[in-house]
Amino acid sequence: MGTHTAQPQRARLRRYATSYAMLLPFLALFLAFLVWPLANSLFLSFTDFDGITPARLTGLENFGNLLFEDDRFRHALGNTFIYVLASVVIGTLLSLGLALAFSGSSWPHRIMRTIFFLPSVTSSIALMLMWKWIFFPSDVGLANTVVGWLGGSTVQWLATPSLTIPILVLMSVWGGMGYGMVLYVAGLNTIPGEYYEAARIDGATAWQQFRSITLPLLRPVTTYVVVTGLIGAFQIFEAVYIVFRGTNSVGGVLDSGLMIVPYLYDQGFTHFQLGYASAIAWVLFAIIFVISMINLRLGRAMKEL
Amino acid sequence: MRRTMAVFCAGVLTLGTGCATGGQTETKQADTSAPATISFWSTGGDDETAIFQKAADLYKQSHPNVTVKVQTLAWDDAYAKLLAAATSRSGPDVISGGMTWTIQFGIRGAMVDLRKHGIDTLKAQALPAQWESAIAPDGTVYGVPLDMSTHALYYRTDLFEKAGIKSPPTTWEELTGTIEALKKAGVKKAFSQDWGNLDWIGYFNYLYQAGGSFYTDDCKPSLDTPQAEQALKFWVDLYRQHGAPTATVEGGDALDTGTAMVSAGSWIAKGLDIDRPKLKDKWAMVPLPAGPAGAKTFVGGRAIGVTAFSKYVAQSAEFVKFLYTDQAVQVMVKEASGRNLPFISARADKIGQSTFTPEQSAVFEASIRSGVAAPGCPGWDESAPDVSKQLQSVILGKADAKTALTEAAKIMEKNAG
Amino acid sequence: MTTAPAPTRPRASFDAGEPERDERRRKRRGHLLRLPFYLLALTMIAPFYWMLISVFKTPTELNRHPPSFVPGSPTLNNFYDPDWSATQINPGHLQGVFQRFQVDFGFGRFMFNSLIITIAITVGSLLIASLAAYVIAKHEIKGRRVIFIMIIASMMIPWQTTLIPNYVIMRNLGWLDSYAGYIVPALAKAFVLFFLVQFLQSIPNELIQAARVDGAGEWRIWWQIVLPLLRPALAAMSIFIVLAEWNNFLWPLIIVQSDEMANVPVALARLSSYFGGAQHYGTIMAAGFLASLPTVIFFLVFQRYFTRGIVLSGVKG
Repeated sequence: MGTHTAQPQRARLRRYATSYAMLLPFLALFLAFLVWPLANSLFLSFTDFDGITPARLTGLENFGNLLFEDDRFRHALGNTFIYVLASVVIGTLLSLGLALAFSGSSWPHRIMRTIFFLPSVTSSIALMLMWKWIFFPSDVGLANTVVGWLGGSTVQWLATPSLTIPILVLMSVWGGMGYGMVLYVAGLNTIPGEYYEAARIDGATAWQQFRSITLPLLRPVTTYVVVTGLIGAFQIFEAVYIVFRGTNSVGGVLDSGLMIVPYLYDQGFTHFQLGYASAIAWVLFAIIFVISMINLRLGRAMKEL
Repeated sequence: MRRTMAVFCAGVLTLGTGCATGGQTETKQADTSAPATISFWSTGGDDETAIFQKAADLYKQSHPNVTVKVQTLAWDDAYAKLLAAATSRSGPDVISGGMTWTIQFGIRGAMVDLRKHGIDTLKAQALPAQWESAIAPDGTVYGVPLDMSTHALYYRTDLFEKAGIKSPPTTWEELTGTIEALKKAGVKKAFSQDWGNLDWIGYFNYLYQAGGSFYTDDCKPSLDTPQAEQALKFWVDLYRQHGAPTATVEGGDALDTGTAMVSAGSWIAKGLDIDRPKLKDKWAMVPLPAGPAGAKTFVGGRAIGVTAFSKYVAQSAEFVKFLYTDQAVQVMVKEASGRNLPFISARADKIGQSTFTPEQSAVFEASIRSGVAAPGCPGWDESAPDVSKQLQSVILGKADAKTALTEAAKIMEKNAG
Repeated sequence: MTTAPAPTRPRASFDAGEPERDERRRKRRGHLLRLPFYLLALTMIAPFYWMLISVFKTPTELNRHPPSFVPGSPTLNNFYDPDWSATQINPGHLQGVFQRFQVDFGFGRFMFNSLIITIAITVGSLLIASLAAYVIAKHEIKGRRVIFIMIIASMMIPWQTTLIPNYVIMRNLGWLDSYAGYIVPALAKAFVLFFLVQFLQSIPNELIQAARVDGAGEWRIWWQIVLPLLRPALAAMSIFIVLAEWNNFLWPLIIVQSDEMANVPVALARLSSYFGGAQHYGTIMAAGFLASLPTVIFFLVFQRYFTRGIVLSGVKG
């Protein structure tokens, strides 16, 4: 762009003005509905704002309570970590498996890919209601019918605390593996065929080829699938709210499905603790920030290898 | 470090104070003689909205200047929506919702004290137990009861006959006895609970039937009593010994799919014959079995109040009062009957004139007359979910009754402030 | 679904392996390894099938045990039941989706709301983001690096952080319960800008320079050169935005106050919150079916772009 220095000063100024004018719509909206609310939420996280009476500054009290005293938050945090770990690991492995199974361009492969991708384009709330209907507590539900075929007795799927997280993981993996599969298929198709050719000539087994060619070359895709999966999973809300919500609290029986964002909602919008809820949001931010940083570090370290 | 922190905090402060709260401002009242449009957010179903709209339309005949628009809030979202409205001090003039909601919003300044509008005259017409529950601990009237609901024991007459059981249970002992007799006769699903399953409302009945209570009369938590323990043990045994399911199946569904006895809300009586043709003439209902301390049943319902950010406080209060008049009750019951909806007005003298059949009405009236409503003590709403969780941990075998109750009492103590 | 096909060359898949002469054994192993995934496909189809048959069952059939797997007497009553009436009792008849909500056009109104909102946000956010992306990628102006870094940093912030303050802002602007409340706060999407900037940076400057030499203004360059160049990137992003906005739930849940302004997800949630019994799931599934229809059709029509778009964003992001 240095070629333009010869232009008259006025023209350059006009170009500058145009540039800023073009930036303006985005920037104005960005500042008004993201930066400004963020500053507010940071402020609120240091107050006891209840939504109605004016906020009072309480310093670090919210964060102190959250990190050191609030058992429910700790419980929510624990649930979230278990859920995130399980859903991301299982989801990623199945995505990779699916990609290896159905990466071809023949019609059976294409149909399979379409089937697995379908949940990604179906209304997410509709899918949750579908699961609620599948796990219907009496024996008219699908899950209990299947259990009946296998000779078991009726299971109270959504009211059994030990089943809550597994069901949430199932919903997440079922709905998300097709998406990861598409990314992996694309990744597989960028690997030059010559690599495998050469490996074959060297007599490498399928497993050796997979270990030494496929996996390493898919690493960028894996990183992407894992990181986006992690960030998405940490923010889980609808699944808990729609499927497990009880009359009295959002977390389901014994809080077995209580996660970070549902807890934020519970505190902010059913307990008049908007200041506290803001603090929860910032803790969530810190977690996602750390993950992103670790990812960045890992990415860099990988490159140096 | 400390200084940067201070500077940072100051910056955030100045940034934040601008918009965060906006402070609490007195809402300017509109001229009482000018035309007013009152927005009434009704928690419940769309059908119920139609009932209240009918009353609103009738109100307009005598108050041509006042138009009331009723709108539905779903139970699940209602609390959050009301909180959002209160935060923004915009939205409804009149709200209805759970019995104690108006208190929760009221003590934070989002509801009008209706005593200033002469509304506590309704006290004489309301059911005392329900009235106590709707008013704030300090006596302020942020809301008044809007309607009533209660529990009943529904049972399948055909299954009882098959098992050779002559009459439905009337005491705790008979309840467990009947369950076992049914099981012996091959009825797989003998007993289940709908309203209040795994929840404090479910425990409520047994607690009061055993002579216990959540709070003493002067609002001291009273869950660490032998009565409370006895009640909890009995309730937990219904799950653990007698096989009551922990998952909540809607009462009608449960009866329809072969459950012999269901403890459920009064409202399900209405839809049973219509939604479930299969059940016709195969079911009946009685008051809940009595405990060691006699018959006591939970009385629920909704409360209605006027928001502090309404421009039409006087007109709104007038409308709330109107809902207690004979003609309003009559038109609401009529509309509800036409729509086949359950509806028991908040007028204590009109419990018998609900939309139910005379036999059903008699059962509910008996329950309500001896009924107890949710505690209106400070901190109860905050405590309720945690108390429920303590109860759940006993039902699911994760704690024993005594520890859980002590824990629950501690939570209530803490929240009482 | 199609991805860049590479039919003949050897690839990493369950067919990979030892030299050619083992062809038959290799094929057999490939099938064997695929078998569990075909079974997995069954578990993908079964829930959808269950949802679909429920749509056409009568209330009585929904309550049947054991459940039927082919609707006994298929009916469209779950959408609209002509024999149901609010004031006339009619056993065995329940409200269909289009009778459940007391607003004009019933559920159709929510579909309309969602459609308007989704289209407006998609078009609006792509336009303003492409403008800004053009400046950041191709203009030498002061502060662009700072702005870009700020925008990248903001991508790490979970949006729930802004939920409460944004709600208060909507109140102050009087935008609660309005299309503006849905649309305006959703327009500045950091990840879209980030993606478009990256895409533009990989495009050489020649075309733009040539246009400048010809005396074209910056706005015209944006409209006539940059936007067409960005087409694949815009297509990729529109897929994300459409899906996200069509499914948006928490924000609408908070800002919608009147029945008329609900979007499809909020209406769906409300439907299931009123009616819990098995006999109502016909209607609930019918509503879910309607809610899914637009995005599924969108996907089937633009399948090619979907895959490409996802891949594009994955490789760049």
